[in-house]
This record gives sequence, C-alpha cells and structure tokens, in this order.
Amino acid sequence: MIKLENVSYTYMSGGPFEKKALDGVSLHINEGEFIGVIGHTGSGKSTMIQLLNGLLKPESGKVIIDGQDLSEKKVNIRDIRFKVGLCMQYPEYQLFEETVLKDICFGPLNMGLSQKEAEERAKFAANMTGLPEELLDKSPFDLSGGQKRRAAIAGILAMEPKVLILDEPTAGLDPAGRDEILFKIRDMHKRMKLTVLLVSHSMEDVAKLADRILVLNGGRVEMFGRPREVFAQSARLREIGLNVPQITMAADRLRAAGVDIPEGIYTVGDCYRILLPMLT
Amino acid sequence: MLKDITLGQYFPGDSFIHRLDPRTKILIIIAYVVMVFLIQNFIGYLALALFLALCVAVSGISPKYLIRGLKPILVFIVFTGIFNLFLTPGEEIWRWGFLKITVEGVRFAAFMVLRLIFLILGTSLLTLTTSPIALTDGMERLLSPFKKVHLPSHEIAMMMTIALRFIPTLLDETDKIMKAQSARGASIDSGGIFSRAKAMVPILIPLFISAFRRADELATAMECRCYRGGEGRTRLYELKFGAVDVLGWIYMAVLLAAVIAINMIFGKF
Amino acid sequence: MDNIAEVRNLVFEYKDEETGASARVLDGVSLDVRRGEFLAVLGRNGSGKSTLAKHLNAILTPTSGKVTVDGFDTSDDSKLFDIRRRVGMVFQNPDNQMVATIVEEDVAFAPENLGVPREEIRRRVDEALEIVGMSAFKRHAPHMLSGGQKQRVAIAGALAMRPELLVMDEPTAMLDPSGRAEVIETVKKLNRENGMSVVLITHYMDEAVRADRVIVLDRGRIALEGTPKEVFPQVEKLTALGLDVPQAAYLIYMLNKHGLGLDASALNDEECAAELLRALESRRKGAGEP
Repeated sequence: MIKLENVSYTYMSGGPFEKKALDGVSLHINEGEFIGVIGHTGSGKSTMIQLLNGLLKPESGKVIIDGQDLSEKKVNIRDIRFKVGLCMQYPEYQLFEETVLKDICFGPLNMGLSQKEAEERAKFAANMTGLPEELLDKSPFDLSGGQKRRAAIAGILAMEPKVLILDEPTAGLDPAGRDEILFKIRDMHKRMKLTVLLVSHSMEDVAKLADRILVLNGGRVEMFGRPREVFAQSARLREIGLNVPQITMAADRLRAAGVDIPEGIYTVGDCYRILLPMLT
Repeated sequence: MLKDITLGQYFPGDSFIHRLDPRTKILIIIAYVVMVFLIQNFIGYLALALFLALCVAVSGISPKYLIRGLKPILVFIVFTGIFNLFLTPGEEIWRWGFLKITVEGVRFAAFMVLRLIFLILGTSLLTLTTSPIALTDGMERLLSPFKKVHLPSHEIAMMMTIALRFIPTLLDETDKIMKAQSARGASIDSGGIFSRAKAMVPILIPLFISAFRRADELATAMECRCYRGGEGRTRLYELKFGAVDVLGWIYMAVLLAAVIAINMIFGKF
Repeated sequence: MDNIAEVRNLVFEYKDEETGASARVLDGVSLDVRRGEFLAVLGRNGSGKSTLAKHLNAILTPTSGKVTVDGFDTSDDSKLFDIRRRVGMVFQNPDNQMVATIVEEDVAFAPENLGVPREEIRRRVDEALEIVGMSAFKRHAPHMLSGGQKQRVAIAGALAMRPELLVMDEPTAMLDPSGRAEVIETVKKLNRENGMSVVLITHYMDEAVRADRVIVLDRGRIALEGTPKEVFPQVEKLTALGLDVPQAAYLIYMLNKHGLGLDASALNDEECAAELLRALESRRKGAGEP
C-alpha cells in the first residue's frame, strides 16, 4: 500500500539553517495494517507523513502509494490526498464552517461529490468518530475540546481515504477523552478496513493498538517491527530519548534480578499473566 | 515564500549601527525617507546609494541577505515600473498600438522603482540592526512628548511589541492551517482570482479564531504578571544617547546637506 | 502562617451570555496550600481545575466563599497586586504567555510592571534564568526555542516577581516527553532547593506521583485527597473519575485481587519490581519449607 524507497528530505536546503529531516528512509506498509509511528521531536515523523500525501516532495527517492509513484507527472496530487487522509496535530484548528456538518462535508465536496453524497458520508464519518447526530447542526466552535477533535477527524474520514494518518490525535485530551478517541480509531481501522498510521509520543497508546511500530531517530528508521520486538530493545529506546511503558521497565528490572520473564513485555495484562502463576 | 521576508527580522550584532540609540536610528530613517522622495536626479540617488552601502558595510549585515528581502515585493516593484513606464503622458519615444513610452515615463518609472528599492533596503537595515524591543522603546520615547495631547504612546509601543512577537507564531500557524486544508483537498494555489479569494476563507477563519484565542490568553497572562499600563513602569534597558549617536547625527546632517546641494546644483535630470 | 493559600467553601458560577443559564464550576471547595509543598491537582476536563487555579491569584473571584493568599483576601480589590505578585502563574500554551521578542526582556516584564529599579530587575532576570537553566538563551527570540524551553522561560518570568507560590495550569499538556521531563525537573528542583510552594495541575499521573500531596477534583468538588501513595492505589475510584492509574499500581491491584496482599503503594517501576521480588522471594522460602 505504502512504499518508501530511499527517501530523503532537507529543510531550507542550501541555506544557513539547512536541516536534514529524512535520510534515506525505505519501508513498506501493507494494506490494512495499523502502524504506530514513534520518535521524538525532530526525528522526521511529521516530515514523513507530509511526504505520504504529497504536501512535501522528496528531495530524492520514491514515495509510492497504492502502486503510484508520486513523483510521476501524470499523478494528480489531490487524488493522492483523498486516498491518504492526513489529520494534523490539533486538527480542531482547521474547523471553519458555520455548522459541524458543513465542515465535515468540506473534504467530500472538494472531491467533487454531490451535496447529498457528501452529507451521507459526513453523517457516517461523524458516527464513526462517536459524534452525536444532534451536534451536526451546531457551530463547530460551540463544541467541547474532545468533540471538536472528533469533528476534525470526521472531516478527514468523510473523504473515505484508504490510508488514515493521525498526528498525535490525543494531544491535550484528558485520559478518558484519549481512551475514547483511541477506541474509535481502532474501530475505524477494523470496520472500514483502513490502513492506519498513528503518530504519537505515548508508547502506551501505540503499544495497545499497533500491529507494527516504526521508530524514527534522526531522520532514519531505527526499528520497525511487532511491539514485542520493539519493546525488547527497551534500553536502546531510552537511549534515543523515548519513553518506555512503565510496565516494560518493571519487567526488565525483574528479569535483571533473575526472574524468568521474557523480553518485550509491554502490557499490564501480559505481565500479570506471567507473574500470577509464580506468585500463587 | 513566507521565509523570504527580511523586514522585521533582527540580526544581533555589535557594530556602530547596532550601538546607535534606537531614537537616533528612527530619526535617521525618517530623514532618509524624506531624502528618498526629495531627490530629483540620479546623482542624488548615487549619493544615497553610497551612504546606504557604507551603512551596510559598517553593520556587518550580508548585502546578499538584505537584497533577498526585495524578493517578496519584486512583483510589486516590477508592476510599478511598468505601470509608470507606459502610462505617463509626455514626449513620445516609442509606440506600438495603444502602448507608448515617453521620456517622462522612463524617467518616472526609474525613479519610482529606485524609491521603492531604497525604502525597502533602508527600513530593512533598520530592523535588521535594531531589536524590535529597542525599536518600540525608541518609538515610545520619541512619542512621549505627545502624551500631553493624549497620544497613548505606551499603548502604541506595547501593541507594536506584541505584534512583532506574534508575527512568527502566526506565520507558522498559517502554514499549518494551509497544510491541513490542503490535506482536505482545498486548492489554494490554483484557479482565478475569485476562486482563490474564496479558497482563502477556510484559512482566514481558523487563523482569526486562533488569533483571538491567543490574544485572550495573552491578556490573562499579562494580568497575572501585574501589567497595569505604562504608569510607574520601569525598564530593564533605559535608553541613553552616547557619543556614537552624535556621530550618527553628524553623518546624517552632512548627507542631508549634500542631497540638498546636489538637487540645487544639478536640478531635475 | 503555615499556609500560603487558603480556600474556604469556594463556589464559582458563571452566567452563559446567550442562554442566561448559570453554571456552577466550583461547588464548595476547601483546601490549604502549605508553604513549601508540592501539590498536584488532577481531574478530567471540565472538573474545575483551571477555574480553581485562576482563583489563586485573583484573576477570578469567588461567587461565594473565600480565598486568601498570604493573608490577603482575593476579593479585596485594593490588594490585587499584592496578591498577584505573590503568585506566579504558568499556563498551557507557551506561545500565548510571552510578551517580548527577546527572552530576557520577557522575563523582565513582571518586575518592570511592578516598578522595580533597573539594577534590581537585572539581578532578578539573571537569577530567574539561572534557576530554570536558560541563561545561555537570554538574547534569543522566544519562537526559536523548543516547547520545553519556552515553558522554562515562562517559569522564569513568574519567578522574576519573587513569588511565594507557583501555580501551573497543565504546563506540559502541549509538550513532547523530553519537554515534559525538562519542565517537571525544573519544578521539582525549584520546590526542593528553593523551597517554592507549587500547585501543579496536570493530566499526567507520572507527574502527579512526584508531588507531596494530590487532590482530585470532580464536577467542582474535591473527590480524593492525600499523598500519592494514599491516592493511587485506589484504582477503582480513579478509573471511575476518568483518570489513569500508573501501570505499576494497576499491576499490583490486579495481582492483589487474588489475595496476594502486596504493598499497593508502589508507584514507579523500581518500587513495583522491588515489591514483586520481595513477594517472589518470600513465596520461594515458603515453598522450600516442608
């Protein structure tokens, strides 16, 4: 579905503030996968997701979406944007219409859909994000923080993309709001068969949902594998400035003390299942 | 393109120009602007160019960087030039259909273009060598005699400071919003003027809302830090005229005299 | 006086301009902020946390009840600046609380407003930047700094008033993990080394765990109160209040459901591992005996 071949990108190329954001990244993401993208600020995460829907063009290398090389002249970048839905950080700041419904329709209408089709999609998308129908006629600016966030995500979802990229969708939400949004994202992934890229600072959030985790560091791929494989390298993760789930660290300590516990524990449930027989 | 704007940016340094009191620099720039419009012939502009080149050399600012500041308004400069070239009535030297070029047109177009360039370069040099705070401080102090006629000099200066502080923040924000809306298929850079103006709505509304929210939060933060207007306020840096300022005034006075002399001797070109 | 701030039966209502209905945001809150303590306030969005914070420096005043800061009643208008000078505030969005275009000028903003003499401003600015570790950036433009650095400058800006209390309203919500760590380390150091009283409002459990005392607000009332070791083992209550529980505490809670009787006050990975090792050890000894 998504293929990067030796992709590099440099900001302010040639100037005194030149900064290499991506450095020879190659990777492959299959259709229907749920990928967690992790890396600290400046690791190249946001550059990568902007390359994936053509907001940025690679300096060298190829970005291939659904078999189409984005650098080819005949590819219409707008079509790619509808195929790869990108929900930016704090997306509620993109809301602008009089009503929530109209705002969600903005994307579908830009695709050239009829008003009726757009509204149908908008209602479906709102439902998927858990936005109550009675809010659709309200002004988006009267919604609560969590509701605005959902409306903004619905605005992307209504374009019915094949790939959904979410940049820090839970930033600034409280724990309950965060869990609800993550639950809805999992739901979308399953029911709409979406390929999802979830960018997050929170290892815990990503660990719960992702099939595979992509760790970026200094514009390069540091790790890309199943959560268990990634968390097995917890020492390295901490070395490059990332937080490791508390439970992984506790399990690491137990193993260091001689307890027979495997590497790469990242959920409380796993740890519990292993420890309970030892303790009872 | 947003990154090309040099006007309003500040390059810290310790040159003669940097050390001038901001009030001196503001007065000099006013005199400079007057001269830009006063000059009647190319020899005058040559003198001004020499003065500007001297200032740039002394300031340590890269001339390339300064000239790059013209880029964003290049279209405007070219447009002004062409407009004046073709639309000034006078002695005809070339004609093609309804288009004609006159002697006066050539002269006027050249002057207008020169004036614009000199204005941008001069003011850019001012902002590049003067911290925005110093600039607003200088402004506040220069305007303070007018307090007696109820001119709110402190408030004006405060507004300028906050505006300067938030320009980079809002430029970043505009960039983000443009990207977010592009990701929803908004076409910002295609179509005719009308559809482009319409395409600005999804960008301007979020930008304004965000600006209001920021203003609101900033006002609270300022209150928390005991802001209560200019009354009884002290400053970390008090402005003081020094020996460099006297030198600055002398240079300016000499240049002003030279420009007037050139105008009188050579007359209109 | 042992308390820097005292809140008694605080009720705050605001009127919706459009509907005319009044909403009660705080509903009878009483609490003391002790001198030198690090108090964390938790609660879901809309629980009244920020409103409470704004009462601590008279940005808001009570509908009924009373708030005093260092003995001054916040409802007394004539004491407004005596109060605000004593309470430094830091907010969520670092970009929206900086006034000046140069770091040191921004830090100088509050003392300038207070009419502090120039030499003294200089001293305070240098000292405040030193405490937050931002001295090397004093001539920088704020927008060139990282989020964590901006928040440290905001803290310095509050410190330049020489406050008695630092109130921080979700100062890390918009930061990445390294920015969060920077800010929390700074606050922790300020509290420990300079004896600064701190009220930290946050969503992050790992931050609250480091406080001396924790208060959980829910619908404008105090729902839980105590030391972190008293509060966080109450897994069911916290979950019902829409809050997270540290994973370490959650693991021990799950294991204890089987009657293992582990010490539930373990809050970090180290304490958790130590407690589990102790339990494994004692079980092995128990099994070894016939």
